Amino acid sequence: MRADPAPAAGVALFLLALFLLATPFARWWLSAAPPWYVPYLGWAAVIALAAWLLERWGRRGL
Amino acid sequence: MAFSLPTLLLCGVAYLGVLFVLAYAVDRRWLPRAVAHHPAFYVFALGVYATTWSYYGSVGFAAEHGIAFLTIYLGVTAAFLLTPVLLAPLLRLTRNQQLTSIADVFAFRFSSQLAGVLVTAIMLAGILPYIALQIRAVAESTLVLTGGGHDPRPLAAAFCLVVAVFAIVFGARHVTPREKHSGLVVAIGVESLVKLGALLIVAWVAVDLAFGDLGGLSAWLAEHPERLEGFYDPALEGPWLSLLTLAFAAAFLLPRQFHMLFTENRSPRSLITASWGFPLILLLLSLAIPPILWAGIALAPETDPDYYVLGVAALSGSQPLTLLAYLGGVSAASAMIIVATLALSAMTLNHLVMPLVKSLPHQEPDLYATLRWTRRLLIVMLIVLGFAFYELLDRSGTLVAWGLMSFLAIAQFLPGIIGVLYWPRANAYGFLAGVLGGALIWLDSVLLPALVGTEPFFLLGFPRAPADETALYGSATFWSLAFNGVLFVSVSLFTPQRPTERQAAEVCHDQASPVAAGALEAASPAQFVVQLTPVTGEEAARKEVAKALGDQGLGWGESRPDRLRALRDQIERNLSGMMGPMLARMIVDERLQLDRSARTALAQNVRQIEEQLESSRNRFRGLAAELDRLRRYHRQILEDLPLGVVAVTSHRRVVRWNTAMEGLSGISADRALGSRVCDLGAPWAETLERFLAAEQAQQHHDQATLPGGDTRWLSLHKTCIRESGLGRTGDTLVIIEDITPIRRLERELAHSERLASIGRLAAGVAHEIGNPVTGIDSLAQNLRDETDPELVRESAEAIVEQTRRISNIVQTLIGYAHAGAADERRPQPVNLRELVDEARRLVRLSKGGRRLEIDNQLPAELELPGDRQRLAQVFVNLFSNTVDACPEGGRVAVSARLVGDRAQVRVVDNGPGIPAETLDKVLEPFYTTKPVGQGTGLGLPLVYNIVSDHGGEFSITADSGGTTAWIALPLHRAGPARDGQEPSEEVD
Repeated sequence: MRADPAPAAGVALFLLALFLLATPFARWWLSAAPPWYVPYLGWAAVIALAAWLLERWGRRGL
Repeated sequence: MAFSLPTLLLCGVAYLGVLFVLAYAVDRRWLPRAVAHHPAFYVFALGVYATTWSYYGSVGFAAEHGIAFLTIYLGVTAAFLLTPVLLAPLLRLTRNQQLTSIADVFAFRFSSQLAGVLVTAIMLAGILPYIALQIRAVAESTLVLTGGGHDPRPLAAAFCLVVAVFAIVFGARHVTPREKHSGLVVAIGVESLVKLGALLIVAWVAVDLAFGDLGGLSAWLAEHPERLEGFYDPALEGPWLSLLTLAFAAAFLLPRQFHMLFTENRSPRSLITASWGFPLILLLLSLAIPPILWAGIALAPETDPDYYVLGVAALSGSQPLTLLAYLGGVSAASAMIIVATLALSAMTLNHLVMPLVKSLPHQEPDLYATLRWTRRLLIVMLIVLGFAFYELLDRSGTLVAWGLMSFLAIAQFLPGIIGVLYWPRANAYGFLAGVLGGALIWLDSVLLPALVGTEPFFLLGFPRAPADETALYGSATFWSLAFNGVLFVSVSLFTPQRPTERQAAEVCHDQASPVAAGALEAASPAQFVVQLTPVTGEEAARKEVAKALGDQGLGWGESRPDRLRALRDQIERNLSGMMGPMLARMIVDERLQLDRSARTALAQNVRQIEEQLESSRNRFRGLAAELDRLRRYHRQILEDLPLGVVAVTSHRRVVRWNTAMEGLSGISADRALGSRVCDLGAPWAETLERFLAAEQAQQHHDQATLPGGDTRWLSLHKTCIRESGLGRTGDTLVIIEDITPIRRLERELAHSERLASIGRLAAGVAHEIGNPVTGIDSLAQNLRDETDPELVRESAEAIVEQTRRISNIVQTLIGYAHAGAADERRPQPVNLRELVDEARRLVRLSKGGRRLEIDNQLPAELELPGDRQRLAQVFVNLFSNTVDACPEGGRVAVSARLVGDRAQVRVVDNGPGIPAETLDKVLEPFYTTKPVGQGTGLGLPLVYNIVSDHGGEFSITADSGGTTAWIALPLHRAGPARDGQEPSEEVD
């Protein structure tokens, strides 16, 4: 039986969010003071990725 | 621009009135179901998360702490990214166990009413300031638009009244979580849409007013680089991670979020849509904040940054826009208060009120009405308490500060919920210690300073309180959660876990809990009603049992123990939704008792265990998954076996009924499983009962007439089922083979054999008939000339005598030839001696048979049950064989003796015997030693089959002195199971 990949994908997305928000990388991009909408673009990209992965999982049933 | 108070009041009431109508229309099903139940409403309804704090306060938060305001949204996004491992398992748990609040979850997992009480108390203390915040925001926003100068409290009170009525009418209509509040979900979804739309429109107008367009905003930011630095810098220094953690916990632990996410969820599929849809809504909401902030800075409206949304809208000079912005705030506040009070009222009812009511020695005449009205009263009380907090709390602080106070309180359940989902070893002591420790720090650092003005951390004495309010929350978050987590883990590790906790932990970890031992005392759904009535009242008891029967797809006539156990579990789950898991368990344990002294055999729980394994199979991993595959493979072998397989417990309950058995019997497995054998109906009840009661392990050629009149011939085998290490379980496995086609073939062959033997008898028959015919002919010729009356009379009598002789011969032949229909006959007593005489007469019809000497030594009184014609054929065939073996005339002796309950018949001839190498083959069909055309090879196989059909045994021995045929026939046929002996109930 193949293991369900959804939990791993969810955790990977969560870790990606942590990397973007709560690591020295976050300090770097915050200190770089990018245009104000850049954080929103990153956020939207994570949401799009989540939608793609989780919808695929959802089609196979929770 | 200023509005009059009555105008705003009227607009607010009218807006809520429109939502009333919308919710009413949905509840009345005036809207198409596809629209009302669309997942979009569910996703938007989750927007109840964004209260006036987000709507108004985020701008103020951003003004003070820059991009840190985003943490309140990003933390939620992080939580929703974990949907597969966090939200989906929680949804599964709450749906399966009908848990309606986070207090229910903890009370269920830790099997502790105290856990439910503590969680409810902390929730109340933590959420009341949040409700107060909404009241304050509505009151202050009204003051902003009216220009101030009057007491906002009457307006706040009026707002509370309207919201309370809405919550009562649309949120407390049902007492069970199974009945969703569709109208409420749609109304809250629309409110979210209104506040999102209002905020985006205000942001667009603000940019237009202040900068002309987005390019103008960029140019302004380029001209004022300190604004962009001020936007990012606070995040580098402030409690960024702590705020993310608080928002992460709030995303699903806040009562209103839990209620919308899990209790009002109609389909698990909607959660998937929400997992990205809700963060998208939050992104859009927060996208409006920076432009409004910078437009506010540029335009400098006469309001605090917390109310820039209103100030900037008012500066636009557009009354509709300003009203829309105001109504967006009313939406945010009213939605939060309505859903939060609904969730808190259910929690308070289940964990604070019901345990007290239960202890009262008084029976409620109408459980549903009592629950509904108590819940409505609690909603009013909670809103009144929120108003009291609004009066008590220091109103000089920011809106965000009051919101964070609530966030920190509910974050204390974060270690516990992780334990619920992922740490089976966690126990109630650890949970209570952790939550109490964390709540103490929350009280010390946040609540008491806000309520009575004490110094943060004065009770603990450390750490030193930061001067900045938000930094204080960073410190309080770390210390409270650290203290909480350490206590939770350490106390859980060093204190024992109760069996009920262990069982609940297995359920929470998606593992099937072991089926409880013991036999249910109630034997029917009607008895369930009788037993529940003293606690719930008769009407509620009847409705709950009916609901549970519907859930399980059962009827009121159900009596199968495993189905009744499932019914009991369903009732517990349904009651849990109404009055909490602990009380539901208490009621079910007390009223629908299990006789735990009774050992429940594994076989009786086979169906429940298999259902649990089936529902959990997707979650098996590694060796467990392999074992499950093995189990399914073995089960499939039984299912696919082309033989009927029936497993029966020692109490005559059917626990296995495979596909072949379904086809053979026409009884579905669903109907047969769990039924008593005697309830299976004709002919299976009688057939199985008789075979189970019989000593023999095999029963060949058993006849069964199906309800449609079709007759089947069955071969049955049985064996005792053993359990490894325990020996015999008392259960029996029965294999049933449908041998009807073989039987029909045999019958046809037997008929052919009979016709063949008649052919062989033909010459003898002609001779036997020829003699009397010749005699008749002579007598008739003489009669023509005879005149003496005396001689005429004698001649006539002689003719009659000769015709009677012919008639006897013909009748014997006809009876013998038409024996094919005998299979369906019931056994009749047959006198063996007379039977052998009849066979002798038949054989003597043949030419060779007249030379055969038959010595019938059978006692005259020997009778046994059987089919006379078929048994006659046994002896005809045996005598015919002797005739063929002894053409010069032989001798046959037939004798018998009783051995036990059988008659042992011995047929001995003086023929040449049968060679040893041939003896093994004589019972095989079509094997013959006679010349071609003289034998069919079916004589002895037919004898064997007839004797077997009669429950007897046939064998042949031979030597040079002759051949001996041994026929053992039972003196009595096995009858049905002992009348009146019903199997006892499911107890050993």
